[in-house]
Amino acid sequence: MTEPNLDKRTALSEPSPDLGTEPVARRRIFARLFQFDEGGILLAVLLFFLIGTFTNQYFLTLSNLAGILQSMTFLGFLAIGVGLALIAGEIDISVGSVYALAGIVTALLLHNDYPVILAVLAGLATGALCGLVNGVVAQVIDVPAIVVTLATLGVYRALALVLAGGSPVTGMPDAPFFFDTLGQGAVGQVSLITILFLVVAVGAEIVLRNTAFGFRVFAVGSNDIAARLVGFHVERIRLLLLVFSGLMAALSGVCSVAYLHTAGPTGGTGYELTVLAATIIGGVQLTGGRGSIIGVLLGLVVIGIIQNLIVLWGISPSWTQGVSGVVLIAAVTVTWLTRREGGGTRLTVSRS
Amino acid sequence: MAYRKSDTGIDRRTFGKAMALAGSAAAMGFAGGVSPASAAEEDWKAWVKSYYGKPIKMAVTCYNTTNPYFVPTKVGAEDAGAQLGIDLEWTGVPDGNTVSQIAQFQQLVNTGYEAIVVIPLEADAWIAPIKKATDAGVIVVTSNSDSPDSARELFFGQDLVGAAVVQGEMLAKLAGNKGNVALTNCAPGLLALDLRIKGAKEGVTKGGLNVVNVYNTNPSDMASELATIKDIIKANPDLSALMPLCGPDTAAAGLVRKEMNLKQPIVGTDLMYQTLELIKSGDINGTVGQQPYLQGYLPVMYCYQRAILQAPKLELPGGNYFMANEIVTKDNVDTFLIREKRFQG
Repeated sequence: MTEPNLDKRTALSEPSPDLGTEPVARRRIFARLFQFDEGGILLAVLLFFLIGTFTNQYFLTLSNLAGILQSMTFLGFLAIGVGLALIAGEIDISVGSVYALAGIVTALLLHNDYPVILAVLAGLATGALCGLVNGVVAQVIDVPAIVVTLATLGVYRALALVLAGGSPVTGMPDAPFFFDTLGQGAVGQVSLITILFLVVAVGAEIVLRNTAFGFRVFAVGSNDIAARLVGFHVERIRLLLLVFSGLMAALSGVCSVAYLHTAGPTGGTGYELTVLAATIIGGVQLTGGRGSIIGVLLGLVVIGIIQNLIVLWGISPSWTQGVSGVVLIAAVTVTWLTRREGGGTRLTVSRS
Repeated sequence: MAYRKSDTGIDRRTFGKAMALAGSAAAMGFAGGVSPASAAEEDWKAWVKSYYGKPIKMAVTCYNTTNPYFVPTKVGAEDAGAQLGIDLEWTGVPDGNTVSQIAQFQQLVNTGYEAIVVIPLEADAWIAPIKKATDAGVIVVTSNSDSPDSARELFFGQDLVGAAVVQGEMLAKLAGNKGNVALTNCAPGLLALDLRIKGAKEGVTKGGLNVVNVYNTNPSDMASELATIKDIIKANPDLSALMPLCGPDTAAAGLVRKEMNLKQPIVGTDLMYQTLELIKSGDINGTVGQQPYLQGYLPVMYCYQRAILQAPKLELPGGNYFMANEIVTKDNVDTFLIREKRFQG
């Protein structure tokens, strides 16, 4: 049996994340119309915008649009971390629990009159540590990340409940910068926390698209065997991304304490599923190697608009998850139809 | 070996047909889920809209729309809305997610709602959002559970401490004024439950009982409720009495007592239909109701007075509109069975 003829130049020189893509001629006309992967989801966002605009007079108001942004902010932090991990071929479903645990740690320290900066750093460190535990077990001990994070989802949630004594942490002292400025502050109609989220998202996209590390993330997610052969530290990259995912969840949890002036141990329950839905709707491939933060943002916008329209149309909130589920199926179907026949998402390895 | 899409055994055409079928079924289910109002209600609403020149919009947002306790509250709010001819939206979250509920609330404020009734979970989290809403001219009241430090105009609900003291004293008397009692809590962190626990402990202690623990329950899942009550019984074999502090907990306690043929007295909370049936059968000794129907009905009526008819604000001590307790035992349960049948789940 001969060795696989792996064209390293194809792997390393191709700027697009589609390593070893199929010829353009084999793409469908629909995909050809859009010069980037997010074209389909952008079209969906525009479609929902049009539907909202023509069905409700309040939809296209600045306050309502700011409200949509606000509603996706806390999930958005989680989605950045989970999206990057997915692109690298990993997964983290413990983010909802990390969100709660980090929030509880921050709130407890504030409740006990520790300085705000210490409370915030402790919350962030909690998230990073949770991500580190996930990463070490998944990458060093080599347990599949889905199993690890499924387990730690329960462990971190239990820790949050135990630390909080089963009920929300309230009675925090006044901390004007943390609660008033960060928590409730805004530039126009856009909250400071939302601005922070957008800054982090833009930063993550820049790193993903324009740095060597970002290229390695795509390489690892696309074909970890090939990536290892060219010298990328696959386990280290994935571990770093799981730490980052934990850090993002913690940042969301800390910001929620500033926003709500309280922290609940059951906060963030179910967030992991909504975040996964947003990333998939946004075009992130579950098997890795494909996606973008822009796509994740657009996926969040779709979910945010759906939830907004449900309120504006006066529909029972019980339909929210069902509608999001239908949109998810539609998004996956469109993605499957436009990326079929190998869709250029995998490195071609030929044996001769 | 060139990479190939894995063979799922299903071709694109069949997949497309399956998706179309699923989409059609979802659309039909969705359409079926939107209940049509009666013609008379629609005529009345149209008249009100033409009279005021615009639809009058009010909303109730609830922190746990899946808790069966809130069924009468929803009906009460919708009844009030129908009688007034306004657009009354019952909304909220199914899982106590305060961030999502506040996001919804802010969308309601931004989209022309004249008044909003808030049923909050985490009291402090609502201080800033309610202030923003009242600054924007929206009338905000709370119901069932309060956010006392917020700018809400009124709280419609029970004097939770006082009611729980009465409940505790009743239970202690039935237990012979001695022994251990276990309490339950279906919403840890909810101010209303914190106050109820405070009153419960005061009542049972005054009556000579000793509180062994307060156990958390899940009111949206009866199987979980039953399991928790059974675990409480197993963990405390010398329990003299059981005091559930939520509606679903009370029904679950009665079912467990019936199943296990226990003798400990139970005086619970709220008037769920199942609880009333268990009182009739003797498996629950009594319950204290807080009028959930009126917790939906009265706030909407008040908000209409304030927002639409420009009535002056009702000045009450602490901004609290306390509703009377309804104490139900085997002696008077028949009346309540007739009244509450409408909300039977």
